[in-house]
Amino acid sequence: MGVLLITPERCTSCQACELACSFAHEEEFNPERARLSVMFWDHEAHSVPVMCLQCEEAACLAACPAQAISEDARTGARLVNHTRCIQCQTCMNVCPFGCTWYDTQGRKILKCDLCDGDPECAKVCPSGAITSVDRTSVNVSRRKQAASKLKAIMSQGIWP
Amino acid sequence: MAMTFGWRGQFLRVNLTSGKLRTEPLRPEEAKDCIGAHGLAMHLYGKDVPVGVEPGSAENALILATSPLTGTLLPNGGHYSVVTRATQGARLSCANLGGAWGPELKYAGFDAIVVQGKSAKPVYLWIIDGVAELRDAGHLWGKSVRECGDLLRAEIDKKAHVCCIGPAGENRLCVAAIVSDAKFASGAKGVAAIFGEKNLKAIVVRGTGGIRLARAAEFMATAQRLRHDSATTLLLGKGSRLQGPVLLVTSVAEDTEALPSDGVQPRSCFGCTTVFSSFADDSTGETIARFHVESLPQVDAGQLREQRAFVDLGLDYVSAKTMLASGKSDDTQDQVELAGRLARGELGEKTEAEVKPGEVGNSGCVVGGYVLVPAIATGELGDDSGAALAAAESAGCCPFAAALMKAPEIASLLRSATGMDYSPEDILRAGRRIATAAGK
Repeated sequence: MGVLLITPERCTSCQACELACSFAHEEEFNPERARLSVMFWDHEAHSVPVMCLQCEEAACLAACPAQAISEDARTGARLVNHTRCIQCQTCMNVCPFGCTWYDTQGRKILKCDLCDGDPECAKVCPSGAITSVDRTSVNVSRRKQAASKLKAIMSQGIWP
Repeated sequence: MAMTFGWRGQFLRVNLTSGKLRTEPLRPEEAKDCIGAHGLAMHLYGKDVPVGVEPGSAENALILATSPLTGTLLPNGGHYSVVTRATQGARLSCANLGGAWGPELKYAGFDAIVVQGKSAKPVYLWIIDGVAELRDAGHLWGKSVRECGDLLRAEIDKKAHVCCIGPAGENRLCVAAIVSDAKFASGAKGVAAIFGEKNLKAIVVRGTGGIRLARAAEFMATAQRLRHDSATTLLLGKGSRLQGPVLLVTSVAEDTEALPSDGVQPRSCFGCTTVFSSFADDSTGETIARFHVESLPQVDAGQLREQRAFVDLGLDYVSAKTMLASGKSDDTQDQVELAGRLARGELGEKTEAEVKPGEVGNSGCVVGGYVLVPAIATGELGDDSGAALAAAESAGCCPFAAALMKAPEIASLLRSATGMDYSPEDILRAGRRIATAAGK
């Protein structure tokens, strides 16, 4: 099962993720209809991509009155069944991250589906700000980085 | 309107004298021969403007054009062109700008804008999803590009993108630059002075429409391969070299002492893949520049602030510095204050009308706010590297990545995007024509 990992300090605000997402799902290049979005703080020169985190205790899944949101056991994604969906937008209201929204052009709920396990946003991200990693190896590189500091101390013989 | 692929199939015609706006169809079959961007803008200019018009006259047109690939996943493909006649008797002046303005224009439903006439008072053009209007810009006149962008986004739409001029452009200086979203500037041959001449302060766009392609899978396969290559190959091809004093890349936040290497995020244009790339000298193979940052220890915060101040005034950094150095100033004076006086026309420097052909070149562009990227020297006239660069720029690609975008790649992307038939020979032929017309 994969998960999307964000490393915001690597984001260059190029918006390729939004283009890849809208192209894969809506067959058009249109950041407005992407299922993730890059948030900008232009004056501070910061940007952070945000997308559905596929919560284990997903508010959207719990709140959906039509039982249209369910877990994909294989990919771990919380999927919207557009046939069942009654477009009441309750999921949009309860999402604590604001990462489920309504597409006024396609008249449907837009929510990250992890592209059936192979996310397009991670494939096009040129800087590694968005990566698709296995749940079992998530953050291994960050743990290793933290551990390497202790290793450096050990190798200097300071540590008993 | 018929369904078009790649193209949006229409352009906006603006007459500033009468204040009339009109949407006109852009037939892809007609636009095919000129690729897009530079080529399309020149084609539209040539169709509308008689030979020999004065740069300052109302008949002179100002064309902003995108390519069928602008706003797609083309690597480094967010570029658009601004073409006008800025110097008397010379060739047309072409500026190439990045940032998200070009893609946004396409999402708003237009491939290009043709601006004609001359407004009696300062105006700005506001475009949203196929609808456009001219608005009074009295309150924006004299404002820096950053203030202008902030004011416009606050009063219209906070997600809008702004292409504007600063005080330097208003005063029709030959060293003025057009600035896109306060970050991406091009000072090519006085184009910004024509904005000032026409009393056009800014063009603001917002679009929520999408760009559809004819053959999605085929396009994505080629685009992904090129995106991968651009991140892993050295970028300078034969015949092109980086010139200029420094190459600093990435940006730092406003009002900060932080240098790029102090953990500040790198910034890039829309769709950029080269932000972590290296540039090598093709004769020695030595890395001469890098888009990210740790490799630039010689840069200091004062220099970055100075560049930011120049861009905010709507000045082209390299040529404005040259002008200040050769003019009535000495190095001991505060360069930023001097630049302010230059931009406001208080130094009595040469204006656009007095510039001789060839005097002001495309002296480079500013990327990501602070960063100065020197101009790329292209091959000799008639050499195919000039044609290849012109073709890549006309396809909406960044000149820095032009080495990747060879004619077969451009032809393949255009074929799958538009569904029309392009051959590599068509692309090179068009590139040669555009390069000759642009005097490159």
